[in-house]
Amino acid sequence: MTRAVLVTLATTLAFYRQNPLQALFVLIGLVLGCGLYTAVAQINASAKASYAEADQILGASAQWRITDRLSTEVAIDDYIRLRRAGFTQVYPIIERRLASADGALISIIATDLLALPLTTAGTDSEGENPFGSSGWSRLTQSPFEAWVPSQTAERLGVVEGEQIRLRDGTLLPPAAIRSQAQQRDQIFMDLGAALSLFETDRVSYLAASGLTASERTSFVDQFGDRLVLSNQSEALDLSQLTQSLHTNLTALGLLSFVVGTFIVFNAVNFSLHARRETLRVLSDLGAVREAIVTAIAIESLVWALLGALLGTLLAQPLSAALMPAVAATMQNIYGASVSSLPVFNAGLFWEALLLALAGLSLALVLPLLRATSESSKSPTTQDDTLLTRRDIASGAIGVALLLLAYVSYPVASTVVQGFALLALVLFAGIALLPVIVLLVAALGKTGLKQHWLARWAFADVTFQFPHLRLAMMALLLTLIANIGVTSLVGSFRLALTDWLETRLSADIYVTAGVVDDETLATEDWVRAAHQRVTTEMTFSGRTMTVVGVDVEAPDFGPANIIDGGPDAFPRWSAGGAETEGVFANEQLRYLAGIEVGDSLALMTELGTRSFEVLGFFHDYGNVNFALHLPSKRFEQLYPNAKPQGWGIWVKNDQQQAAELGLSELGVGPTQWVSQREVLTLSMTIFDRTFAITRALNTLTLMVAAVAIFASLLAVYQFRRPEYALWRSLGMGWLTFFAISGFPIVLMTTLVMALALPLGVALSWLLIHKINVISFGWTMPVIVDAQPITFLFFVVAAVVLAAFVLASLNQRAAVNNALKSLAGE
Amino acid sequence: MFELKHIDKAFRDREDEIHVARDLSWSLGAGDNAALMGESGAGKTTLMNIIAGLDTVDAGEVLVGGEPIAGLSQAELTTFRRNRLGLIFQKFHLVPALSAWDNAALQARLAGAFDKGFAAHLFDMLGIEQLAHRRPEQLSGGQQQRVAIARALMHKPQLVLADEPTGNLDEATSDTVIELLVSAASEADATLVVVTHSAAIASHLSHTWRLASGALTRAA
Repeated sequence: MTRAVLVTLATTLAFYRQNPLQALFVLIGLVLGCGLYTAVAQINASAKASYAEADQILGASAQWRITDRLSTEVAIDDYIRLRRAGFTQVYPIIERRLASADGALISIIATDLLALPLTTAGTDSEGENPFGSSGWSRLTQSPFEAWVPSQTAERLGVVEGEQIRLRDGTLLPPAAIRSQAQQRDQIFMDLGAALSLFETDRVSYLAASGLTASERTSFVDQFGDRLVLSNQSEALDLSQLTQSLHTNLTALGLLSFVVGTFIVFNAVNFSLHARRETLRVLSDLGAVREAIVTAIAIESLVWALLGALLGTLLAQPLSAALMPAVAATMQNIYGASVSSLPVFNAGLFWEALLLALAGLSLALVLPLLRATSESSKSPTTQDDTLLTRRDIASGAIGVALLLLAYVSYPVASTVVQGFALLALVLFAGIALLPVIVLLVAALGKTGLKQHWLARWAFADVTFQFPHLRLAMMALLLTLIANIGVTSLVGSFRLALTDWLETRLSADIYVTAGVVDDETLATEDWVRAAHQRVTTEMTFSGRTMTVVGVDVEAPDFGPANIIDGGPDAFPRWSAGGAETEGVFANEQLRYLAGIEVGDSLALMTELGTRSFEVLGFFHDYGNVNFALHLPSKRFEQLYPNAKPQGWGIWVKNDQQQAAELGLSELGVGPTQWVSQREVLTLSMTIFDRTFAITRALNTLTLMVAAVAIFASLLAVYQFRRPEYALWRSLGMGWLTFFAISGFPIVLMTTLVMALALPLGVALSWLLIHKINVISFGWTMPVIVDAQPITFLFFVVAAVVLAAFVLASLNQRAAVNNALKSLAGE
Repeated sequence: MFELKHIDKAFRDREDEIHVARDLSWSLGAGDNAALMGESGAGKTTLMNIIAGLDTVDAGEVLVGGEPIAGLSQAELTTFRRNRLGLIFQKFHLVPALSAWDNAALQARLAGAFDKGFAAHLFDMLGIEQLAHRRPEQLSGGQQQRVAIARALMHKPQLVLADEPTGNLDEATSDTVIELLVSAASEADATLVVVTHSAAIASHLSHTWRLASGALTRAA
């Protein structure tokens, strides 16, 4: 048996010695598939590891969070009262994001180390835990220390003992550079030092873990009037927020693997054609089926090992190149700090190996086994019918999947269900493609019956399609994903630009407390100046910002209202006698189920008031709820709320005068910004944020191109004797390439035509389902023809390049085949 | 119709040099037919390829219809094959995507010489008029070869070269097919050369030539 296996293996592998290009294609398919999947998995794992590290720090992981009912911060006195009342699990957190004197963003976190629970403070591995007892005394005693993670120190150019200067001139305590990963990008300080530094007696929030039901009841009884206890596991936390992006990335990684498997399948089909005779001869010569199967299994294992190994190696530079884009996405959209260095995880190699084996069992084992079951005496017959039963079933499945997606659309309510809808659309596309191609070919053949060359060209589509089927499916998947994501990003960009242009319509923004309205009223260059006032509270377990908006401010008007009646804005501006009219952001509609006309009972400084929702407004990217009240009424209800900065509209051609005027009013250069610059910066951040999706789209397109190239080579190999016949009959090269190239042109065109509606449907689902479920806001779906046309041009160029590359040696190969045609 | 003048043709197989033709001369006139026989590896197919312009000679001259084909470009050779040659192969080599009718008409259409009446006559003569709409895989070997014969004659070529045209057929079918080929070629006034191992097949043709060690001798 062993000898039989070895002989069989040596015989089948001899093919690759003679055809190294085939070995290369099998390998390229596996390496690209495994590499892309592993890279994305590695990026996901690294990002999630960052959250886990974040969770180990302080309050992020605490199950319970305590906030002030009326303020964004909690008084330290409340913390002391809670401790004295027996809530010893409670500990205070101060979180601040500030700018250094150099303009670099700094994240500071501070707590009372003595109050930290043991599970967080930890004593087991002091050498690695930043909260081990080592160095505590220097941290908590004057002159205090600021523990700066080494990567942050490097970013800021800070050395041991140096004091970081903030933009307002304040100096942080001397830096102690720490190498522990747990600190992420946050500078850690003692609570006392932070309170003194920020000259405050309030903390960001209080955290607590392990509160029993009776303790929670006791809390509400004793402190419920001033403090709000919210369960963090029910609130939208960081990992929940980023889950949809990770699912998206994982889906793209799997898509890459599926496309990679298609390449393997084609490459294997190619090599199989040449080895079919060999396997039959081996079978006829008495090689037992078990020996052949074992040899095939060994070959598969070798391929899988090579693919997984090289794929994992490829994933390292790939994820290193993509990780900064992902880190930027996390930072910009979710405010999540993620290391931009991917972490190698040995488990991912085994995952890649398993995936490679699974892919090979589909692509290699099944066709090879089918080949061994064919005896040399059994003729190979081809089904004559236009559409085989399999094609008809496939088409029916496609229609059924689309119907299922349509029916399921209203009931899908979780991210996973949303992605299941996306999968339905993608699979429907794959299932519909064969029927569409074959039907169009049949229609063309019938419609152009009088023209024999056209009839032949359409008939040839039917013959090339089985060989190109998988590559075309790979292209279809890639195109649907590309169009879907391109439309999503395009829609988001346009919506965000419109929104920002309204929100940032003021020419200048001056930070709060620097100038007052009376002063501004005397300045000639001021066309209009408006100030917003805000307060925060919790609603349905989520932070809600109530904003006082000037009814005459140009950055909020009737055009911003969605689903409000025609009189909504006047009613809101006038204010109601019995109920207050408010506009709510659409997050309240999608995440809290609020509709126009509903009333919300909210705490004001004058007691509980009822607010009627008159309409909604877009609030892109906000993870919190928001309500807009006319500022005059707001000031009556929340007299102690904090005013925000001033938005100043400058008279025409008075920008220079405005800047000079601000300087004369004593407004420093760091206390005002040009809104244009903010808008530009915002769009730059946006583009950086979505660089990852563009990169992955490009990569999957490249993989699909390789699949098409490999398939075309396979087709040419299969059909070389037939092509030689065409030439032997005197067919010119022009006619030759027209007939042999027409199928790929038609199929690519049909793939594009099918990808367009499905891509738009995908985009619709991403915007109106996934986005709504994940973030609670939506936006108009904009299908911009320009990027899609560009994409189609790219695809046409890529397919043409694959065709030209595959055809490069076609003339010589066909001429050679021509000589041996008669000798067969 | 064609004339080979003192041609030499050899190729190397590892260390050995194999001579297909040594100062070989051969000619057949318009409407003639002949069988070409020889041992396996004697070079029969190479000789056919040389006449068809698919292979070149080391020395000597090849004339078809009085014209030397050595100096023709690839494009000119393609036109030459399309207009003046009919080729029949052992494995039929029909285009699977096309019906029997379209397969048979293929070369005539490429040459711009398709004559529907003549095509119908050929189908009738070859006994495949009922099979015109079938695709190759729906035909038996004998039927496929009849379609291939129709294809080789439909553009009214001057020369038909058939390489083992009955090699894949049983004896009874072989006899029928070769008879049809000879009579159809004769009716079209085409010169016909048939490569075969079978003396029975050769007996259907007017002359038999035998190729051995690079030399061609006429059988008795």
